[in-house]
Amino acid sequence: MTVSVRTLVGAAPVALASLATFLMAGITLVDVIMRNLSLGAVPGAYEIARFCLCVAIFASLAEATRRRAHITIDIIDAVVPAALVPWLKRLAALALSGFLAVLIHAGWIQARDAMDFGDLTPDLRLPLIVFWGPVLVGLAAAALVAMLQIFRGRS
Amino acid sequence: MTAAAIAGLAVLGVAFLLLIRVPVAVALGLAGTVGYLAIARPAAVLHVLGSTLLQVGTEYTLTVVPLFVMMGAVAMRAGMSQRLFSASTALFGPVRGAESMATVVASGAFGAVAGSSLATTATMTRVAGPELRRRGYRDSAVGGTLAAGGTLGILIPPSVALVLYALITGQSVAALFAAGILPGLLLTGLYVLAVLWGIWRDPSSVPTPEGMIGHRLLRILRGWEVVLLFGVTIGGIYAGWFTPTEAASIGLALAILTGFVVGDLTFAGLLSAMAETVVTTAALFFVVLAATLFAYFIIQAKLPPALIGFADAMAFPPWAVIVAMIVFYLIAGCFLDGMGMMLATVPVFYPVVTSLGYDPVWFGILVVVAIEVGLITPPVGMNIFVIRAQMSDLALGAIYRGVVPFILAQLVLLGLLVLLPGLATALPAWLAY
Repeated sequence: MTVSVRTLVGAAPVALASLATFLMAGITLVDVIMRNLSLGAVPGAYEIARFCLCVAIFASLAEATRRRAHITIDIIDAVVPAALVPWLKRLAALALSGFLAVLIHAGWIQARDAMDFGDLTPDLRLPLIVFWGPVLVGLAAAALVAMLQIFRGRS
Repeated sequence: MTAAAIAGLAVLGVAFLLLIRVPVAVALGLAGTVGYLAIARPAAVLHVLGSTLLQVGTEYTLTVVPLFVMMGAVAMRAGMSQRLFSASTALFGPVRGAESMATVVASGAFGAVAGSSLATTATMTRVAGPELRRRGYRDSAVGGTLAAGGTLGILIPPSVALVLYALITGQSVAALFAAGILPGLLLTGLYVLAVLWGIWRDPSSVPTPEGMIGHRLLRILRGWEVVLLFGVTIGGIYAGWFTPTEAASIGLALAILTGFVVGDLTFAGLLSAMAETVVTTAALFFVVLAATLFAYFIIQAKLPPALIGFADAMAFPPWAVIVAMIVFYLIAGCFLDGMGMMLATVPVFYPVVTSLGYDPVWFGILVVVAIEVGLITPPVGMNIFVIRAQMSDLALGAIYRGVVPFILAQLVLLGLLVLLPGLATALPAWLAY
């Protein structure tokens, strides 16, 4: 049961990000076809694609962190004693958590401002806070994964 | 302490963090944030962080990245690489070393849809590696050809490396794609010459030809999917039919369609391509976000004018600065990952290069070619590791010996690009970018 819940928690954001990528490709494709057939552009295609990109990136950030997919230069592994490598990984996870915490703080301030001022997107008149939702949730999930990696050490 | 000196310390800080295994994005992001805090008010730093976060995460032009990454992932799973290798082998026919040259050409063609060197190397190693060995090629010839062929993926458009360069520097993706075409074709030709040179030096390194291959034309025609994808996406951009993002959407749709209809694409394969795409995209965007922050700090701290002032004071001519940068890339490329190196250095180098009056698109191609060298230079040549991961019985020493002629070919191209910048700038200028 625990395993299946864990699998679901891991797979659901990736599925959401995949769906967003697919939708982004689809809406752009339909927009091109409609414009070339002189049927006019899809209303708000540009903003929908931007929203999908935002969801695709931030929904999969935690999974990228879990898989340690962030670009890392690991040449030091061959130079230092093997026992030191897990500690370096912990240090990297700590630095990642710290950077993500700063980003969450900075994003939270702007999201709050967007909410207070009621900022809207130009085409679909979507509240800007809609974009901030996936950004902040994705960053928080990635920070959580990075913090777990500090204590677990091994991949 | 001046702001430029703080920026200089931040650059050293990035180098230190990278060396102790901190991810490139985190090293750039932390150094940029801490450095900017030293020269600006905390509220201003938080404002820049927050606005960059949303700007990068929702930038429409960046939608091209996941779409091209996914097109490559789908092409890989649809078995296009096998048909390309078969077509290229038929193209060279009964020539001594035909399979080796075919590997280079097929890698270049597959790189044109895959957009990534590591993906191209991994795929072509699976496809061509066993066949080259079965035909009796020596290990050095097998390893060298596969490693070098894979490098073409980041130069021939569409290239994810060029898109990332465009994102950090604000250059046109279409102009960079156009600029990569001639150098990419030239490098493919130089690689074929490197194969021929290897055969001339040591004829026993490759088997004798098996004679005329039957149904050659039919096999050549089996590479049509890649021609279609490249023609529609890249051709469509330059014909003015669609933007890079639209071209990527159409390319992805065509890759899926042909993959299901005439290729080996399955529904499970499509799902795995999608999962691979989103994880890669998230990691890439995180680096782009951090590199954008770091670049902003470097500009605010006025490091580039300070570096130019230093070069002036030392009476360095502009070309010496460019040569120094190339030498830096070549040396650092022996030890560092190419993409990470590019994203960490371009924010510092780019303003200097443009201030010296050099063409930013030309510099982008120069950087990508320099990174290509790093992909196959020992001891840390990522392509070499990718091959070893799939063909563990291939001796590392043999691969190192095998890549030498191809490294020379890359250096020839670098030299030509420095002496004849038109190789990179002529096509974008002709296409009016």
